[in-house]
Amino acid sequence: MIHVQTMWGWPIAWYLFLAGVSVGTYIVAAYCQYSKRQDHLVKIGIYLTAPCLGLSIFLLWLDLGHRMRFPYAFLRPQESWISIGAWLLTLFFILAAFQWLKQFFNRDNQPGTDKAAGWVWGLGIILALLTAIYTGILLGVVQAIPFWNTAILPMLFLISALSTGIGAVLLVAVILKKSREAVQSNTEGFHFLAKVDGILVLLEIACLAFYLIIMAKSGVAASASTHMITSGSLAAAFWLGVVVIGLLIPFILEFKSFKANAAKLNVTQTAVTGICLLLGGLALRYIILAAGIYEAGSPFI
Amino acid sequence: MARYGMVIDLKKCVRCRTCYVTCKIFHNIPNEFESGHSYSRIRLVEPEVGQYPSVRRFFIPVHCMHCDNAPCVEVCPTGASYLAENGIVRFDPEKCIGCKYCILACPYQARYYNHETGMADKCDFCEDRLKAGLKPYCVQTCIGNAITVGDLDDPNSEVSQIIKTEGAVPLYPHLGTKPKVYYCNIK
Repeated sequence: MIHVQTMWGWPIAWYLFLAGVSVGTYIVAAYCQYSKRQDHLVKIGIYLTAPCLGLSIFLLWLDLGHRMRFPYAFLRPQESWISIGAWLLTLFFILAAFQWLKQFFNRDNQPGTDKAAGWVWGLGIILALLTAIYTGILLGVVQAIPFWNTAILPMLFLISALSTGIGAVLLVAVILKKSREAVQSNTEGFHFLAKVDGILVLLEIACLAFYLIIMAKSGVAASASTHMITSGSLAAAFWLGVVVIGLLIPFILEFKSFKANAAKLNVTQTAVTGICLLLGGLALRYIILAAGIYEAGSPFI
Repeated sequence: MARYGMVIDLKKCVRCRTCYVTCKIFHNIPNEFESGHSYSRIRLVEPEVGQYPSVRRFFIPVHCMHCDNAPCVEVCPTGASYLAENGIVRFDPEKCIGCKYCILACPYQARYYNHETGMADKCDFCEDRLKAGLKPYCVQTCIGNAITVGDLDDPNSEVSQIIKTEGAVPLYPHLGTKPKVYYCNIK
């Protein structure tokens, strides 16, 4: 008998996805800040991080059965990954909100370049990466659901987080008129992001393939989860949402930009890449949650 | 201090579901006709094994296993689920935030989400009744006398004796959860 978990559905999928996007946008901002070439991308990254993260925390909070008791979630970071996550998300949010406000009230100035700002960025990068990894470990430590109980999940979610973050920055950068003009005047960093994302998408395809190939041979429950994704009720969401929209279309479009003339910017193509990356990231979180099948064995088979 | 455990003899179980119903009534678990959710602190598992003409259908009441190494206790962010000294995995309804992580973490699916209280409820071996010298509702009402609760640390207790003589086994011992509910005649 197959028992699929139904406790964590769309709100948690959105939560994992948005937390990942905020990590990606933050890392993009941090890189562009470090490379000192793309101030407008730093701004977009910073402006996106805190709202995405805030929304993700809000969705997590909405999913609680007793919302007003949320402070209790911080009580056991020594053992519970929900507690560890509560701390990480809170600290990362405080830092991201601080940088958002700083950006907002200092519009004309360069984003901080002094030593203190460097430390803030450094701390932010650490918190961001830990947040993305945490979203994978949260599911990874659930021994009762063998499909999640694997070390590749944190890696897959981290890669997907960076990729969806790049997608969000690319999308917003070409949608806003002012930033589109800034991008068109200097497309170098922009094309660099597209190239990095092309590599990330390749890594994600590899991780996802290893994940499914090995899970298909990892006992009754995990192989049932894999079949649910590749040929069962989640097949459409997986092949169309994750593989075609989330991975193949962005990769093909980005591969073009490897060859494209660096001086040119194709607005539609970039926007489509961004939207596809985001949809794919959300679909990935959802299918992994929805394919959570409980441990099966004698006499539960 | 007693270390409570349970043993269920499946040969004595007549599949009447009285344990499920009494548990549901006395613990005020939402009525499935009104709430639309069917759950109790006892989960009745009815797996079919084999193919026609050699098919067998099991019937297994699954209580909380009160694991010594409980995954639900480990993942709980608030400490609402905890292992008490008497071996019972207790649930503190004042502390649960309703994150549902324990429900995912329990390999026995012994916990359920109560949509009325917004919390992840579970079996507590009717601890109040044990303290008062009474048997848990499921034990009290079992018509086949299939369920026994008692002290696992005492080798002369009824529960220890049944486990020893009948060769009772826990479910999923390979997970390392050290469950304290045992089953006789499971095959």
